[in-house]
This record gives sequence, C-alpha cells and structure tokens, in this order.
Amino acid sequence: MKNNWYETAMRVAVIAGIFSALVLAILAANGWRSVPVTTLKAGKVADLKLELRKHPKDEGLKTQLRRIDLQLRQGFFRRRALAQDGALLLLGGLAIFLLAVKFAKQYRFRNPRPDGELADPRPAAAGGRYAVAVTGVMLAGVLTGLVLLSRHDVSFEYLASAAPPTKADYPTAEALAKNWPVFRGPGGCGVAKSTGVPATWDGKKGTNILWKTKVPLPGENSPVVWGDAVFLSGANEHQREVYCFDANTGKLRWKKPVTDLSCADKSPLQVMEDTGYAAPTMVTDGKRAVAMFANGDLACFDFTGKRLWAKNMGKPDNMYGLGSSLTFYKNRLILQFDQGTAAEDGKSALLALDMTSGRQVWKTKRPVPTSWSTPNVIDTGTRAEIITCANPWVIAYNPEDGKELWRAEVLGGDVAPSPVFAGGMVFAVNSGANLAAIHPGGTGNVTKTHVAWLYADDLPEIVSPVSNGELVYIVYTYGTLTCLDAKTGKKVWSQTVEDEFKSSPTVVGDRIFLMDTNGVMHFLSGGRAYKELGKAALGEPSNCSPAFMNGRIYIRGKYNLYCIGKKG
Amino acid sequence: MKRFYPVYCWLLLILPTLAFGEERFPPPEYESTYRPPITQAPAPRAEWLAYLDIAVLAAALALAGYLTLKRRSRRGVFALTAFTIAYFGFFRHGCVCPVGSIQNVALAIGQPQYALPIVVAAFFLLPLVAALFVGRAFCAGVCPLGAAQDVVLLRPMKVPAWLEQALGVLPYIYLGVAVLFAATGSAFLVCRYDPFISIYRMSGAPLLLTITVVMLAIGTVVGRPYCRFLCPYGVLLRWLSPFARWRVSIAPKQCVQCHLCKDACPFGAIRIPTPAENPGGRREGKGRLVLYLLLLPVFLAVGGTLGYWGGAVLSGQHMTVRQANRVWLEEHGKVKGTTLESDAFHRHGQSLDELLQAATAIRRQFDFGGLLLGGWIGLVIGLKLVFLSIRRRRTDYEADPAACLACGRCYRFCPEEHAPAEVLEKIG
Repeated sequence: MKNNWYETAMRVAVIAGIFSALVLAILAANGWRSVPVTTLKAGKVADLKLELRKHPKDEGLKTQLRRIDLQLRQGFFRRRALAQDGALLLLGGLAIFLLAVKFAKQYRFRNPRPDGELADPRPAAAGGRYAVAVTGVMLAGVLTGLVLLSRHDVSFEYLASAAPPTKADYPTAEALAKNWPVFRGPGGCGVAKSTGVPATWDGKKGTNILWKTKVPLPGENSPVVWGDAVFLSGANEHQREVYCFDANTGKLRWKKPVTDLSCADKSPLQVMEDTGYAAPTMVTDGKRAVAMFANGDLACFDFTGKRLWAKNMGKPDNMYGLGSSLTFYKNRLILQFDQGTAAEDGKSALLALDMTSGRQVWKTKRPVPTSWSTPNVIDTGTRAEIITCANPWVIAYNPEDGKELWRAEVLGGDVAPSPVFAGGMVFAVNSGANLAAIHPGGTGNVTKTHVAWLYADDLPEIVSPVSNGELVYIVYTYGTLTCLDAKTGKKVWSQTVEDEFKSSPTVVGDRIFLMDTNGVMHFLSGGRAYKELGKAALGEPSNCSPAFMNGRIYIRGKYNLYCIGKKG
Repeated sequence: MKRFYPVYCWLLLILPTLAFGEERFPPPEYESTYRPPITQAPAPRAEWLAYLDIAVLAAALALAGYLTLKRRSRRGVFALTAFTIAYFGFFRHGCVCPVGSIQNVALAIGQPQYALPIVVAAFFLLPLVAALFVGRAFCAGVCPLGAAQDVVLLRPMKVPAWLEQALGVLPYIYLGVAVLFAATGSAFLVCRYDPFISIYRMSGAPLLLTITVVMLAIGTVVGRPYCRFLCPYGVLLRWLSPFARWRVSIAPKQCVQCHLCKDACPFGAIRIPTPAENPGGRREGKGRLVLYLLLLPVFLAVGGTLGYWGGAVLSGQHMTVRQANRVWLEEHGKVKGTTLESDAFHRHGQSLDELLQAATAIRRQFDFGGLLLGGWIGLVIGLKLVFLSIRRRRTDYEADPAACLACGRCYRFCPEEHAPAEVLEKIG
C-alpha cells in the first residue's frame, strides 16, 4: 500500500514538473516576444510620426499609424494577460510538484541510526570562535574600506563650506551713505546727497563729460559705485560678464565672464527685448560686488575681479525676463525671486544669502506671482524692514530672519516699480492699481489700519516713485508726470510731456533728475509747482537710473558708460 | 528523487524571465479634443481589514503555540504554514510583516514626524510578546518568509558548526544596517531585498527575482537560510525566546538518552549533552573568557571609530545626500552633464543651499549612526566570542530556545512520543 502511494506521488510530481516546465517555456517565449515600451517611440512608428510632422494632413499616414499603434497595444496586452495567467499556472504546478515530492518523501522516511557517542563540543566551539574572529576581521576590512572611500566623499566639501562665517563683515551706515551701493543709491530711494553735480552736459560735444567708455555687452542695469570702482554687468543670450571701471579714468579694470554654472533646465531662455539678459542692478558692499543675470546665475567678485562664489538660482519662470535688482542688509544679500504666473504656483520667494560665501541664510516663500520690483531695506527708526512689492501685496519682512512683518493689499497687475521710504511713509505704486502711502511698523494685514491714502490716476508701470518727504513724484512711461502731497495724497500738479520714461527719477538737493529713453536728462524743480529747469542730452538712448557720487553722475547709455562732472 | 533535482532547479532558475512580462506602455497620443480619463488612485484598504489582520496574526500565533507545545503536531504546524502562505503571503502580498516592521519602528524613532500605524506596531509587537510565552511560534508557521522556505526544504544538509557561527553574525549586522537606513529615512532595505515578496506578489524586478531563486535553491538543501543567517527580526526573537514561559521540549516528559533526535533538526537547533571536562581545560576556558570580556570595549571602540568615519559613504544611499553630492559636483564643474537627481533638483525650485543644508543634516545623522552601527558590529563579534567561550553543561538532548524555530520536526524522532515512558523503561 505504501509503495502504491509513493508511486502515485512520484507520478504526480513528474506530471506537475513537466507541466510546470511547459508553462515556463511558454512564459519564457512570451517574455522574449514581449514588446518593449520603446517600440512606440522608435522604429517604424517613429519614422511614421516624423513623416506625419512633415505632412500633417496626410490621412493615409494617420490611418497607418493608428493601425500599427493598435496592433502593438493589442499585442502588448495579450502577452501581458498570458504572462499573468501563466504565472498562476506555474505557481499551481510548482505547488503540486512540491506537495507530491514531500508526500512521496513521507513514504521513504529513513529511521535515524545515530552512533550514540557524545561529541566533545570544544573543537566545535573553537572552530566557531575562529570563524567568528575571521568574520570580525572581514567586517573590519569592510568598515576600513568604507573609511577609505569616505575620505574622498564629496559631502565633506560642502560640509566645510556650510560652516557659518565667523565674523560679520559689512560696511557701516556712514560708508554706505558716501557711496552708491545699490539700485537708486544708499537707501534705494533715489535720493542723492551729492552736491556740485553739473546742471548741463552734452554727450556728443563732450561738455562736462569726464570720460566715456564702451560697455562690452548690453544690459539694462544701472551703475553701482564704491570709492573709485564702478560696477556694471552685461549679457546676451550666450555670454554673461561683470565689469569694473575706474571711476577716475573710465578704464575697464577687469571684465569677468560668469560661466560653468549648471542649470538643468536647458530650454532656451526667453526674455523681452526691453528687459534683456542683464536687467538686475548689481550691489557692492565695498569689498564685494554681486551680479545676477536673466538665467538665474548669481556671481560675487572681489574688487580685484576674483570670483568669490557663484551659483545658479534656477532658471526663473518669468515671462518678460528677470528685472528685480539686488540689495543687501548688513552682510546679507537680499534677492526678491518672484516667479510663476499665479501666486498658487508657489514659486516666489525672498532670499537672504551670506555675501561672503553665498550660503543661504533664510528663504521665505511669497504668496505672489512674478514681479520685477526691487526690494528696499528701510530703517523705520525702531527696526529694519525689507519692503517688497508684487501683485497684490506690499509685504514687509524682518531682514534678520525673513519672517513676514506686515502686508497691505494695494497693488495689482505686473508690478515693476520699486517701493521708496520717505517722511516716515512707504510709497508703493503700480499701473492699474494704486499709489499707496503706508505707515510701516505694523503687524499682519495692515490694509485697513496702516494705509494712509491711495491715489489711482496716471500711475507708472515701470518707473519707481521718488519723494523728498514732503512731495511724491510719479512718472507714467508715456510722459505724464504727477506730484502729490506726501501727507495727504492730494495732487499738487500734473504735467504731460512728449517723452517716454523708463529710468527712475532722483532727488538731488532741490532738483529732480529724470532721464527719458532718448538719454535726455530733464531737470525739474522740487517745489510745489511744475517747473522744468533745463535738459541735458547724453547722445544715446538710456533706460538706466544714474548714480550720483562726489559731484559726479554715472550714466549707462545703450552702448557706453558716462561719467559726468565739472571739468577742472 | 535525485533525478528530479536538476529539473526542479532549472525551473527555479528560469523563473526570472517572468519579469519581462511586466512592462508599462505609454498612453496613446491623442491629437483630438479627447482627454484620457484621470488615473484614479485605488481607495485605501478598509480600516477594519487592518484590524482583521491583527486578529488573524494573534490567532495564528496562539494556534502555533498550541500546535507546537500542546499538541506537538508537525502536521498541524504544516497546515498553519499553508494558511500563512495563503493569507499573509498571497492574500496580503507579504505586507505588513513583522520582519519589515522593524524599519517602521526605527523610522518612527529616527524621524518623529513619521507616525507609526497601529497595525504596524501590532505586527511588530505581537510575535515578540508571543515569544515571551511560547518561544518562536511565529517562526514555526506564521511568518510568510519562513513558510516559503519551509515548503521548499527537500533534502536538508548539516551546516558545519564553524560556518553556522560565522554566518550567525550576519542577522545582527543586517539588523543594524536596516535600522540605520530606516531611522535616517534612507531606505527600507529589508523590504527592498525581501527574497520572497516577489513570489507573493507574483512579479518583481530581475534582481529581486534572482535573489528569490537563489534563496529558494539554497533553501532546498539548507534549512531556512534566510531565517537563520539573515533575518533581522529573528535576532529579536532569539533574545526573547530563552525567557519563554513554555518552551519546545524534544521529549514529552524526560529524555531517555536514545540519541535518535541527534540529527533530526534541519536548522541545527538541537544541543547535545556535554561530556565531563578536565580541570585543565576549565582553567584555559576561563582565561579565554576573561580575555574576550576585557577585549569587548576594544571591539566596541574599533567598530565605532571605523563606523563613524565610514558614515559618509553610507549616507550616499540617502536620496537627498545623493542628490546634493551630484548637484555639488555639477555646480563646481567636476562632472559633465546632469542626472535624473540633479534635473529633479533644478525643476523643484529648491535652492542649492537648502539642499545642502538638508544633506548636511542627514550626513550628521549618518556620522552618529555609523558610530552606533560600527560599535554594534564590534559588540556583536565580541559577545559572540564571549558566548562561544562559555562552557554550558547539558545532560539531555535539548532544543536551543534561541535557535529553535518550533517547527515540530524533531518530535517524531523521540521514542517517548510514540510509547509511554514506563514501556521504554521496561525495554531499557
């Protein structure tokens, strides 16, 4: 009887084994014939698709393509179904095979025949100790290998660079006031303390032109000046460069390319011609100068032209091209990096980087879409605030930690003008929304509590406002100049001229300097009545805002950098 | 039987070809206004089913204890094994399992933001609690990994004692590495390289299928190779089982020194009686034991130091560190081109500083984790040497409570199982 069961079990095992082998052979053949995913992207299908691009209306091609596509898909799913069914059958076959073999084994059970002698366990224990010791040595070898590999691990490099700077290294308020470190000068509000600047010049005739130097690559950024160094950047689609000019002679001291910064997004960068590839104005703190370009490259150089650090911040999602200029607070570079078409994109942020190392100190997400406005660091008397403008918020941040202080919903549209601070009030403006006067120092949403007044006519879309604390001046691109009372927001005067403006105005003493796109500087009276005091032509177009320092004016034309001052 | 082995092994070796049947196909390129339907994510498993799993696990553990200790039924254990394969294996696709749950627990400890699901906590704890009462009942017939190996065991060979001891170190190391990687959020290694999951899911990557085939092929001649020489959960069970309230006993009442069970265990878990030792040997043994005890801090320090300095390479297994390393190299012009990791970084909009700060934090975790792992390895080696130097006196054939998988195979070899003790006494 036992033998009968054994034989039966063995027969079942043989049949199950053969069955499993057959199923496996079918599955192997099925797997071999399986259509790779790439089939739909290569071979005949790819050729047909290429052909279809050339002849998009060829119905015959379309029909042929659809037929092949359908055949491939049907074949794929047929084979996949076969694979799934086959796997089940194989599993069943192997299960029966195993059960049959085990069943058969039960009927060939061999009774144990031990020798009955007790083995001395000591040799086994000694062998075990030896084996464990050898294993331990091998493991030590593995760990040593890890140590040797770790010595060259790249993470050590950035661990070293992640160390915080040991000493804060930034200029004093006095030093800042004597120079022109950021867009629109110290304080970023377009107010120059410089005296003795000439009242007229002529770029073509050379009247009051101390020097004029060609700028190698184009750019819409404005000059920043520290001591005897003038910094500009220039770029085109393929090149990005940073320049340092001698403020006394105009000689190009050095020109440094910004290259080798990788950005995974290799798609072509698209910018508006008016914006260009180097619109953001640089910053300088007296030891370093930092430039940013439309592709997100950010590079820091010392005054000798040595690149201190550089990084790509990622290709900006900005439909017109990057426009926001850099600014800084103490040793922190402030970067308003607004991106995306809607606030919900979640791409916008305000960042603070360590000027010495480029290391990020903080980053705060912003609930806004792309903007082109430059942040401004103001001192309210009790605290420092970074004022930012974008649609629809004016938001103030703590420059120490990037935390939001207050926000006011007063703006809209594509925001480009930068905010200014004068007479204890923040002025923010954009075309189609408002010119808003806001008391700083608030907390949370201050729209209903801290907005002193709103004004909604002839608002600028590019040009930033300027204020002497008593009056506020705004300039609509196509020639409407408006002056308002800073305290009440009431219009004092309005004047329309024939010129076009993109450069932002500067208050110099009791005068307003405002340059049109043809490079003609308009001198206006800073009083409560409109009065044009005169004009001076650069001799070439310009969209940049001038820098005023030590009785000189530095203006970037479309092609040249000019230094204007009284000769002799 | 031997003539079928080549066929059987051949069947197993070509199993990986099944993997090629599993490919994804791109959707058709619609050029009309037709929009393909949005892929619907399947609804999560009903909560009550999770509690059912816990109940089934608890019942299976109780049943395993009853079958091995009370009924002493190998057939019952085998039936339970078949149920485990069906329920925890094919029905639950091998997940959650207590073996993998170690990683969830480690992750919950290492990353406080991760909340440990109650079902995972239950799967982790229940077999350990059961081990305190009925030993390794979980291994007997409730573990889907052990069950898969149990059914393929056809002709067990005896693993030499020295090799058994050397390989016995591996589960401890696997446990340490798995905990480090899970606690740092790097990877669930135990799940990623689970040799049996591809059986229960009936699919898998070629590498995993190959691991499955190799493990099953070895399992036909070596009893439960994964359980004995790799399983990290087995380490925890080994620690707890010696304290079990009820343990497996080869003889139902009293060992009659018949030696019949000497080679009965395919897992090498039967400890034989020891002969008397001479005084000289005892002195030598004591000296060795003292030496190894004194060397323990050295093993610990050497392992810890090597582990600390080797942590950097291990940290490269973490996705964020790998990404940061790559982006850093690209930023500094040390490599050309981009990879999937660096492309993902640039598209995500994260700044390099944020990435480096995140990677640095993880690197620090690995420095500390490497120190602990290295120390752990040194400690394991040292303690193994210490335990191998301790002389234990045995008078009977016993199942090692730590190593015994409670499968019940040895019962049939004991004459006391088949005849009353008084009869055996009369026979002499």
